[in-house]
Amino acid sequence: MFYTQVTVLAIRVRSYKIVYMNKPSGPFLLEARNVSKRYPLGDLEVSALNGITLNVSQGEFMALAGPSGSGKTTLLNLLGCIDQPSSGEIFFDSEPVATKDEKALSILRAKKVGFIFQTFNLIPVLNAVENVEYPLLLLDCSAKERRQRAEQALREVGMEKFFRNRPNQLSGGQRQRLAIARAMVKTPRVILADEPTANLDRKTGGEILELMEHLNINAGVTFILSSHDLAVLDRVKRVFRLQDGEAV
Amino acid sequence: MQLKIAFRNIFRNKRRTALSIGMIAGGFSAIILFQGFVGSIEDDLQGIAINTQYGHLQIATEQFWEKSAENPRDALIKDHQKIIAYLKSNPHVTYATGRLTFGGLIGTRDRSVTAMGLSFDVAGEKQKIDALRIKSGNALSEEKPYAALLGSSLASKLGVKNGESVNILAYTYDGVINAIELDVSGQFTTGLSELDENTFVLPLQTAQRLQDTGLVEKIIVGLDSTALTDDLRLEFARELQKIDPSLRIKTWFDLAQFFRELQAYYHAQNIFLEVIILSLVLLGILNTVGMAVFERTGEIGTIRSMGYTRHQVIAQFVTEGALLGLTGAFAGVFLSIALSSLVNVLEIPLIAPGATGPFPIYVGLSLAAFQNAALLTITSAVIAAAIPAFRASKVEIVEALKHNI
Repeated sequence: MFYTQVTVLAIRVRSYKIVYMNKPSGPFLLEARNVSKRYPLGDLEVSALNGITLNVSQGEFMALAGPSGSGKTTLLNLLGCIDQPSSGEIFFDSEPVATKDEKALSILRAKKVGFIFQTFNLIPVLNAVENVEYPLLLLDCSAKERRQRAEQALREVGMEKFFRNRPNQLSGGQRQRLAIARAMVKTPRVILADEPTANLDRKTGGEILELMEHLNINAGVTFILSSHDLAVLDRVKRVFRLQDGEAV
Repeated sequence: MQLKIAFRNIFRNKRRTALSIGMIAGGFSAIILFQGFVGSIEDDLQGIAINTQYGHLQIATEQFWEKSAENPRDALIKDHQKIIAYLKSNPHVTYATGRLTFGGLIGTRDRSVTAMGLSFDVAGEKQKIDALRIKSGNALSEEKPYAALLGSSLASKLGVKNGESVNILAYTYDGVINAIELDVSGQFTTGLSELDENTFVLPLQTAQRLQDTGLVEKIIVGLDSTALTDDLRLEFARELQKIDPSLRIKTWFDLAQFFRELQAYYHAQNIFLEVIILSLVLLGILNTVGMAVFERTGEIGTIRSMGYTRHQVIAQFVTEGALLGLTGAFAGVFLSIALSSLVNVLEIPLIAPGATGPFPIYVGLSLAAFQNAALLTITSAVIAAAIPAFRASKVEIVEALKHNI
């Protein structure tokens, strides 16, 4: 039994390396060039990321892997344009993110980036349809179109029976499906999912991964997941590994 | 959608919202009750000033107003009958009568005091005589020209009773001392001790006889609406210039210095009280709304990651503050109506400075007071929401996301 597990782990580790070395080429949706991120901690400065270079092509289904504190979330935040690197550059659609002001970044996020969080981060006072409609308020959509798109997104994630349910009336898996529908509804270029299965049991986590994979294949949406869960890393097509803020 | 979210967020924490609404409604009611109380006192004083002292308008010569005549007789109005006839032709004029006022000595065989004599045209100023509030005895009548009404405190000072006689000594316009004996017809009160202690009232014709003149020093004009005072003053001033260019018109407000001072005092007090009440409301809501905003830091991070700007986040909380203020003001309307009705029913007695007796506290309600209170409380609620929202919107998105929703 122990021998079998070790073998599986070895194969997995090998496969990561193989996948990691097959870097995609061509025009990239997202590029991180020699990116570092440092935080002040009292009188000291802590380095969360150190000289990371990563290219992500349109349609990829990849993961940032590494133990807790390795810098996965920090890199995800930088790629999602909700944080700025201390040095280095992030490019979104070949445009440097650093040159954009706050308003332009808000527009970019509103149109091109979807987020999925470990703790779902749903608006508790809104029901499922309204939660999914919420990001569409920022886009040029009529109320009717918003409603139609939200209901369609919920159907795609298998939530057609829960349109009127509020988040506290849903299970963990259902909430994450709802969060995926919310991220998907505006048809973004990329969805960034931070530990999307961490709060779910193994079976539900598997279903959520299957759903994201399905959306990646069928809708062509780029997915970048952060996780240290082997079940997740098994499923993605590319793994970018981090250790103490550095690529390994 | 934003409004729907705001409305639902308000009722997310019912106890906290109830506390905030209670504070707003309390502040709203405090403003309404104080303004209503002060407003009713001002209305009462305005009524006393107009009905017992000044009328709405007073017409006299420039020399009279400026006390510049060498001989007081020169300051009298020459053709008052013609002017009164003109004034009475206006449909808004309820009365227009001549008046003489004079200082003199009033007394009995035992005692005498100086006092101010006010003369009324008994037929023409019945309404004003009625407004004197007869405390005992009878009002003046045309049938009894040699009668006087005494301020209740003046009558007490003299120890004179109704039906007894008093002697009045005064200078005529030629500087000769003249005297007249009058029966005390009754005693009046104006509500102001200063007037009740020093004033007596007698018919105009009797006063003219005492002062040896057929003229009047001023003409008192009553109107059917106080709001028309300024407009009619201008209209009358234009026309009266044709009759007598020396005539000048003053309004009751120009003449009622005590009223003006009291009004200014109440207005300053009102502003001071409003600032205190609103500060308390603001601090109270700031605390509860601030707590709500802090608890929603994770939500702020989430919606900002979706693409909402700082301004949109602030706008969301400001909308919630405005809704909270609106709900509080709505509750405040009912609370202030209930409280004012209770105060009015209880008829709580109050003795004001300078008043001769207690009067019941009355709280008058007006649309303007409600509008003012609503504006102030809603603005406070909006500011109370905007301050923590502004602070929260400045938190970096990644920091905000570390808070759970």
